[in-house]
Amino acid sequence: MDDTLLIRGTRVESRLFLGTGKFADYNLIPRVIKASGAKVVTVALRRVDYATPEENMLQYLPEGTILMPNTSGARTAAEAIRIARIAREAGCGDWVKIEVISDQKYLLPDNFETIKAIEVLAREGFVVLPYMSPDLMAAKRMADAGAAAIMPLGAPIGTNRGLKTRELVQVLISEINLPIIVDAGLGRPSEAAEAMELGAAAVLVNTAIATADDPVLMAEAFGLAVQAGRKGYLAGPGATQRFAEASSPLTGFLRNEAEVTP
Amino acid sequence: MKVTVNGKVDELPDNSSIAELLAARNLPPEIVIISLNDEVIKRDRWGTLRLNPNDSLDIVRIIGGG
Amino acid sequence: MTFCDEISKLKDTDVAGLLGRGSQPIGSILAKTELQPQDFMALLAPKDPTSLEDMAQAAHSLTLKHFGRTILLYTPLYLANYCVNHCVYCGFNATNPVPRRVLTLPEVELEAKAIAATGLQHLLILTGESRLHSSVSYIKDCVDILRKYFASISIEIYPLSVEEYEQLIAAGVDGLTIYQEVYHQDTYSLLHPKGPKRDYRYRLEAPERAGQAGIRTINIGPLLGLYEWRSEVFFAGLHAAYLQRMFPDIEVSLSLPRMRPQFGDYRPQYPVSDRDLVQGILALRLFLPRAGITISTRERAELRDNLIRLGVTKMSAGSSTAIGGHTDSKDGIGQFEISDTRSVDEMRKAVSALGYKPTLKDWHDLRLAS
Repeated sequence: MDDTLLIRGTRVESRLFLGTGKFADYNLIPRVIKASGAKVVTVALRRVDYATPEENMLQYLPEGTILMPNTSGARTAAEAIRIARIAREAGCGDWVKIEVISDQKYLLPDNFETIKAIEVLAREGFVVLPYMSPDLMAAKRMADAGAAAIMPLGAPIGTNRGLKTRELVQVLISEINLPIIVDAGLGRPSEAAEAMELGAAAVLVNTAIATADDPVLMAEAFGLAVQAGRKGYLAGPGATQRFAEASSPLTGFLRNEAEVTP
Repeated sequence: MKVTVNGKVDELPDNSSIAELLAARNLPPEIVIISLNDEVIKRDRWGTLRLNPNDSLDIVRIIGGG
Repeated sequence: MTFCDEISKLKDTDVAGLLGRGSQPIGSILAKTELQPQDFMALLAPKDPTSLEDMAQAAHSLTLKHFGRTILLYTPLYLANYCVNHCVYCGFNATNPVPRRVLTLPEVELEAKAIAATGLQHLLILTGESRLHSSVSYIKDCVDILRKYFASISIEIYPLSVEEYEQLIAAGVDGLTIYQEVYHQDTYSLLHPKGPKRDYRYRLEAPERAGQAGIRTINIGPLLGLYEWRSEVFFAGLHAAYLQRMFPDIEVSLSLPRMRPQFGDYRPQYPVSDRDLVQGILALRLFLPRAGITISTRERAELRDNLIRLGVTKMSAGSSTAIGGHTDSKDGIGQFEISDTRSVDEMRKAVSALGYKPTLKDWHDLRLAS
């Protein structure tokens, strides 16, 4: 059975998406991508700084990588739309991760502005993957607006605290008919596996890999964890004892059932 | 002439082209993306397109991000 | 896509056959938090008594979590029994020589007073299908009177258009009850040979129209006995799930009325035992944790009492299915025979005795004057 992830018709061979921020050295990135098996890689756009020596980040990404530029830096829908258009014009492809954050303390996304950005960008043919705070109504609106997937946070960016929003993510997985990709907050491979066991379509990991002592090994671990979690989900959970002692029987009255025809 | 580059006012010779601006500021053309007055300008026009006073340019590049 | 479109995909599947297959282990299903239609099917397949008890424990626990220990009491009021349909199984079939009657507005008010005096606040009003004798405007006139006495009025009448539902909702109706009777389309055609009710799709899509019109609660269900009960409960469950998805803000509930002796020659071809009824209720509860489940006075008192802990959330009390039955039931012939004849007071005591709170009102429409 083919379990390949499909996003807007594109086959994505790995359910681990990789963020490329916070790495000590761009040279790590191709090794991390290889070790993890990731196919979708996020990048960001920034204004150049006259003073800093410039490197072409794209040269570090292997052929066949699906680029997902994010709109980080945008505080409003208008800014996100602008960045998305620039990225596409620059040859980054149709995919865009919408990230609209005006909260500098927790880096929590603005669902409201995100919905507005999706409405415009989806009409322009972008494959939009919005980063959002797990809220069912907001996710429905994002789906209606034309999002190709929904990316709820597991915990605030960079906190590595794991799947704190588990219950709400579960609701999204049940109710929204789009791939649900847990993005942000996953700190350990087991947490990525946990998200996959719930039924997430994929996970996006950045900080946990970039800041590990051995990013390449951590990338490999996450790659394996995502596969394990997915298989665990597909295999179906075993029977677990949910009830302790049976309290007084509830269907005993049927036991000596003289069939009473109504 | 005055133009705004990345939000800051900069001084350039009149009729400068984008290519000339990049050279003057030591910016490698291969890695940057140019947005002029909110329109992305393709690479093949950088040599020929002349900037006007009060133009607003965004010069961006791709970096790692999550 | 309407629900009718969705289930037409299953038209060539022998659902009843699939459901009749032998018992499967259900431990892993009972451990899940969210059941899929396949799980629902597995719960409807034949069960040994131990598995049924396991289902009952799970359903009981789930109902406590979502509904607490409360049972909402309501009563039906039959306004008119004129009917142009020839439904084979119904006491009010157009060809049955039962006395026909429609309540005058003063009579409606008398009924309202009598019912309100019992303390009940949730009313279900019923009519047969006759746009002549029980037109939408007549029903609206009744609602104008009834809303002075009751906090919640549901209608169980013939299917209406969106605009007609809107009119009644504006008048004060907040609930719709409409039973598909039988989801199996071929059987439906056989049992509804003549009259507007012959239109399967129009009836099946009525809840969606009411939803678009802004109804607050919807109650659906099959009439058990008309076709294979497992298949019918399965489709009713899918129907409820569909409505919950389409209208997340509407309270969806189900009833599982079983055919009762009624005027006329029809006898149910697919009789449903108490055990089957229990299994149907349990499977629905587990598949739809937040759907209400209603049991009417078609069922006898001691069975109803036993069902209270199995997932039922709403029950009728002090019922009569005769027109004007709350004031002068001696004369009228009801749509079907009532089995549980307990008064509202007796029901309240019985529910309390089982450790549940009999609720008479759980809704207040701020549009109303009082």
